[in-house]
Amino acid sequence: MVERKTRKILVVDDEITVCKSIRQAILSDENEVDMAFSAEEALSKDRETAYDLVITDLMMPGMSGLDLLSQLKASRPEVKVVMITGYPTIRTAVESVKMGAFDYIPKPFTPAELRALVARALKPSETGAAAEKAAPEPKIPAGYYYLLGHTWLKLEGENTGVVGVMFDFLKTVGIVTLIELPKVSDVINQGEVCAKITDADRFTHRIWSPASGRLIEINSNLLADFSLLRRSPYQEGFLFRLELSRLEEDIKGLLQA
Amino acid sequence: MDPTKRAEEEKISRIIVCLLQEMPARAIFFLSQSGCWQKNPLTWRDMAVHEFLYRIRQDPEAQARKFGRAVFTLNEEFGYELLNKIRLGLSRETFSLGRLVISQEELQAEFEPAAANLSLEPEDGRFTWSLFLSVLEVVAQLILYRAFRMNAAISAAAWDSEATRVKLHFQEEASRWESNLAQALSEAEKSLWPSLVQKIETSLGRIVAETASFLAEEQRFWAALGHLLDRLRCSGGPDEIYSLIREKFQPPGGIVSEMTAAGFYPALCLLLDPRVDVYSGIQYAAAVALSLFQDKRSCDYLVFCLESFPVFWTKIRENIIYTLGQLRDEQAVWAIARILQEPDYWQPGTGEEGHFFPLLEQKEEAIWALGKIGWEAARTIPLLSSYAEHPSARLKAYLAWSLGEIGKAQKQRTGGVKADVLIALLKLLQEKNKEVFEETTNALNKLGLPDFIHSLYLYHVGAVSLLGLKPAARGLNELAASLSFLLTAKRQTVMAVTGDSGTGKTYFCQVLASGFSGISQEEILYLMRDSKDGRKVFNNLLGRNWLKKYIDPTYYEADVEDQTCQSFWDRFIQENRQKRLIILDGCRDRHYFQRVVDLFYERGELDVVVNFRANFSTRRLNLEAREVALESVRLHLSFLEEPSLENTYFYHEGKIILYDLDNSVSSRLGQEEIRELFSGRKISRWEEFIYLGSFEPEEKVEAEFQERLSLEERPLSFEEDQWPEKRTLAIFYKERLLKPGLNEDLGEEPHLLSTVFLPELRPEKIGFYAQEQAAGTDETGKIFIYTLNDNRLFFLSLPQRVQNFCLLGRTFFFPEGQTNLVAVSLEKEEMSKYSGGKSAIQAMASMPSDQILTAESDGSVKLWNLEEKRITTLRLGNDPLTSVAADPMARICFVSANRAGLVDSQERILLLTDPFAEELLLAQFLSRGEIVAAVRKKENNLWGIRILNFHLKTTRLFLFRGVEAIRKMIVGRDGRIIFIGQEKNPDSSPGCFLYILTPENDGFSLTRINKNPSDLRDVILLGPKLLTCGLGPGDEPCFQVWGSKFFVQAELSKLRIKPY
Repeated sequence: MVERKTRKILVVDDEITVCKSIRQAILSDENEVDMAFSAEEALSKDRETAYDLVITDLMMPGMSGLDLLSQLKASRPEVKVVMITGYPTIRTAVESVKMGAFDYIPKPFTPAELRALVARALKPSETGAAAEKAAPEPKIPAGYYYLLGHTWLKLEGENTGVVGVMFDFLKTVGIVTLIELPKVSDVINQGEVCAKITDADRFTHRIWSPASGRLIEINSNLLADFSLLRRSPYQEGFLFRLELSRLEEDIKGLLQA
Repeated sequence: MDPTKRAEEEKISRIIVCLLQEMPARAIFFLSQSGCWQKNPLTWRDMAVHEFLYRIRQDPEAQARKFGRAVFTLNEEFGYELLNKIRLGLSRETFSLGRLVISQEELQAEFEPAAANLSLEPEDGRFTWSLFLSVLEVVAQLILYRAFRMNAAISAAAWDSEATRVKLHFQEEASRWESNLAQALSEAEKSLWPSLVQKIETSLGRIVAETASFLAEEQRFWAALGHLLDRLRCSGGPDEIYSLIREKFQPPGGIVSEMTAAGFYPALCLLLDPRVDVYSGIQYAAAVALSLFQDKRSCDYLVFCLESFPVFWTKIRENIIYTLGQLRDEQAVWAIARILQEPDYWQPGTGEEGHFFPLLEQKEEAIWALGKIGWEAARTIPLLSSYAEHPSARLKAYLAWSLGEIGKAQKQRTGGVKADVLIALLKLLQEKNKEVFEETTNALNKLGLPDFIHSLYLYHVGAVSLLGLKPAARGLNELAASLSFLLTAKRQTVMAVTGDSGTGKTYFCQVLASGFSGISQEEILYLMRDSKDGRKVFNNLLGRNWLKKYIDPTYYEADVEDQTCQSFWDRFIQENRQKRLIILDGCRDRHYFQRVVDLFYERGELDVVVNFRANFSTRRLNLEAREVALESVRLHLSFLEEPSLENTYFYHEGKIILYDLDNSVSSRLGQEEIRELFSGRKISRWEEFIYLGSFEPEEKVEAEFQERLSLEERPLSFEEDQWPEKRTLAIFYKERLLKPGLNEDLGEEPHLLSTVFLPELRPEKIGFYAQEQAAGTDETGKIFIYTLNDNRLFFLSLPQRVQNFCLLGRTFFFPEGQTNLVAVSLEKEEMSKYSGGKSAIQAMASMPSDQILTAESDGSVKLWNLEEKRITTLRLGNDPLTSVAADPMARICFVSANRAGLVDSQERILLLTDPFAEELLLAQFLSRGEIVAAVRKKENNLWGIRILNFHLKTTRLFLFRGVEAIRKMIVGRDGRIIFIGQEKNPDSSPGCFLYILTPENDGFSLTRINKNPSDLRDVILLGPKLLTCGLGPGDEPCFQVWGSKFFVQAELSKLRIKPY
């Protein structure tokens, strides 16, 4: 019998009730969950126990979640950190992901959404031996804008853009069993949920939009064949087309390939 | 065990489980001898059966198994025939309850249990049912006999005729029972009885003993009441009997808070007894008793009472409604809601006699109870909504809570909320009353509309409203860090925990008082206002003279020792030197606990104040859990802190660490959570987040002159002036959202956190308004409030510029013209003018308690006592006073031309210095007995600071080269002096620096906080921050926030994340 390894998770929030509800949501036979009420306490606990995943609030008295992230990454680059934020701005997301956060989750979130994110963060990496034998990873084409670890934006003229999912994100999800997209004419803002992907373990993952605007086309081919997403993530596997409403401002929050 | 036997035993257990499940819960039911469910026991046999079944129903699965085993074993060992014979023999006599029974026909009920038919084979099932009934009867009779024996054995003194009568009565009952058994059984069968009892005890020993003991207590209660009721029938004057009956339920002179469970059924009987006169108060006492029991078995009866009692039996009905609400009885909805269809007052019909009865409180209880019932009360939403524009604010607070509860339940069940709920809540939002506003916004929150609420809140100048408070769940983490710091930095820490009654302060204190984070219980002194020990200390601290003036002697006479308050204080401090933490717990009232907190504050011993606030519904729910009885809940709901926190002197000075926390249901912590928070590792360098941090010294300042201080002591002359006429006007303020810019260049200004530009304001004076809020005046005649948390500015334009102002609580005071004093409250949206002063006001300050201090041009100081409406004038000299300040002990310091003075108004002493060579300005208290003043040497226009110690009679002068004027000077809690010094820029424009002067052993060190000079006008200290106003970059009017480098960097890292 193969013994399953217990994953060690640390939840950091200055509000004990939030800490407890997060712990409640993700506690399982596989997940051992500790709590810390400040970044300082979290650093101290991490020195005693090397956690696999740290879920931290961004705003705390004393040291901020971003400071905690940078100190954790400096001492243990392999640790995965998920940021919880009450301010879902793209600036926060980019900043934290650039600094090495695995992802961020804006409040309010449901236990299911959190469980999905934790499952994705703790999923065994595809970069092992099996992955080496597989086909080479698709690379993001030059000129594309992207929201690190999530979505990309390809400009088509001045006011139109195509949006898709980064291959890095898909690697952490594994097999896709369902894709939910908004409807044509829906208006979305940068940093808001623009799609949901369900994996083989029935976890639904939220995807943040890289830009703001009104949807003008949904990729119906993708809805008919989910495998397009992995086979051609930067071309045929796009999600939708947007009529961009705040391009100049949105681009400031994105990186360019 | 044989499988057949096991199956038989299981079948019996199943029948019992089924029987227990169908036993009606909302009334008192028992199984009659014929095996039918019957309501309302008439005999002790019925009571024994009911109590036994009711008790085993508390744990049906386990108890049914035990009972099933007993039935099976008794049948196997003694046979059905013997059991049935005992049953028939003993049931010949059932021992009547007497007069005290529920006899109303409407309340009778009888039905056959479905459990009787439960069996795989009908005939077999019928037999099993009979067998079960026989065993039940034997068990019930055994319980009954045990109860008789217990009461027959009670000790009764010879003089106690009542006890002797009861004892004899039960001795007779026990004998009759024994005789029944003897008649029913043959000699051979009798010999089996002890072993049969033993078998019952083997399986059901504990429950039989508990039921018998309870029944015995009930019997005694019954005997006493029954006897009184019999006397009532015979006696001519029933008043004395009535009062004796009432005393069984209600102690004289107090609110009943607990009762023996044996009084439950008698209370029901008395409530429903039509023969008892309602004016006797017995039904009321019974209704109160039933509210204490909160027993589901009373529901049917209480609903019947609500439907049949006239609406003007208000107090009885209120208690009944309260009980049904507490029991969340879904079937009571319409009986409760009925009162809402009535007018607010009941009046007798034409030609009828009677009084007017207000029904408002009954309606409040009904609304609250419907909210508790929740989903089932959704049918009453239209009726409830009709009260949204009712004139009573209290009723609307109840209504808002109930609509929130019902709406939430409806949303959970159906996914949506009836539009009527939202319409009513929107109407309630128009109510200015704070309780209603809070409850309404909370209700909207419960319905999932937090964004909506947030936008509402932003437009309220009150700002320190419950919605703006930090939730306790988060704030207590910060308090834990602060306490951790103080306990390591100080030998002793004093923390006051205050709040209205029912906000959860004592719960919190008791958790901490048991020790936390390495501090043992012995190292903590916990003084609770409502405890005997706490009150004794407080009484002695306050002293007889103070108490005599404000408190009823019965509350302190026995406690107060014959010594002065000062000597008690010294002894108290000495005796408790080893205590590391002193916790003061109580609801603040002006003439008691507020004074206790003030005493600790005045003596510089108070470190932390934790104020718990909770909305009305939270307080009521807490009090219901604590006090239980409705009357007591209402009494405690009326205990509110006075003065409000923002109007206390310690709050207004902003020098202690203060946590103003929302401890409402949604944010409160449990015992274990509090322990966990307070035992955690703490945040490093936390002191820099609560106090002004450290600044690197740039320059050492030696005292240029140290000399003896020559003092002249003068008696103080007082004159009482007439309280002036007051005229009040309505005002309308404006409100703006500001956008602060964060410091983008720490190299250029390492201590600057943020700058907020002010397009419509040119601020020149600011003061501490509330936590994270400043108030001030501008050059163009505006007064304003600036809230740092949400960057809102509230301002009012006045016809003329305000030169001087001070704040008392949240009211601005400033002079108008030569002699008038004006008070403006933006919160209340009103301006009051006090006219008729005699000389011009030169400077002003506030002082405890509720007093304004005005320094006049004729050399006098006026104390405007707003609470007592009294003006006292103190003659201090002839020179015009240029600056005054007061300390927490109500001492006054002042400067006039070249002299400084200290006034102890309680001791009636004036200490005046000899004239100095330089001009004195801007007086402030530095510490007890020490004042600091800005000085100007006229001959060379050199500015400096003079420290005057009136105790040691010494003075020191520090002169600053290059400083051309000192515009403002403040003193931090640690003795550091912060001032704005004006220097000459190369282009001759005024360039000001913010300086911090730190006391050291042999002088002071001086630090410039800003690198680039600007036209700074005023500065205040807000915890770890300094807030300045004036002209900033580009000569634009602005507020700027400064702090230590560490603080600024830590805050910037967070503020850069947070969008404005």
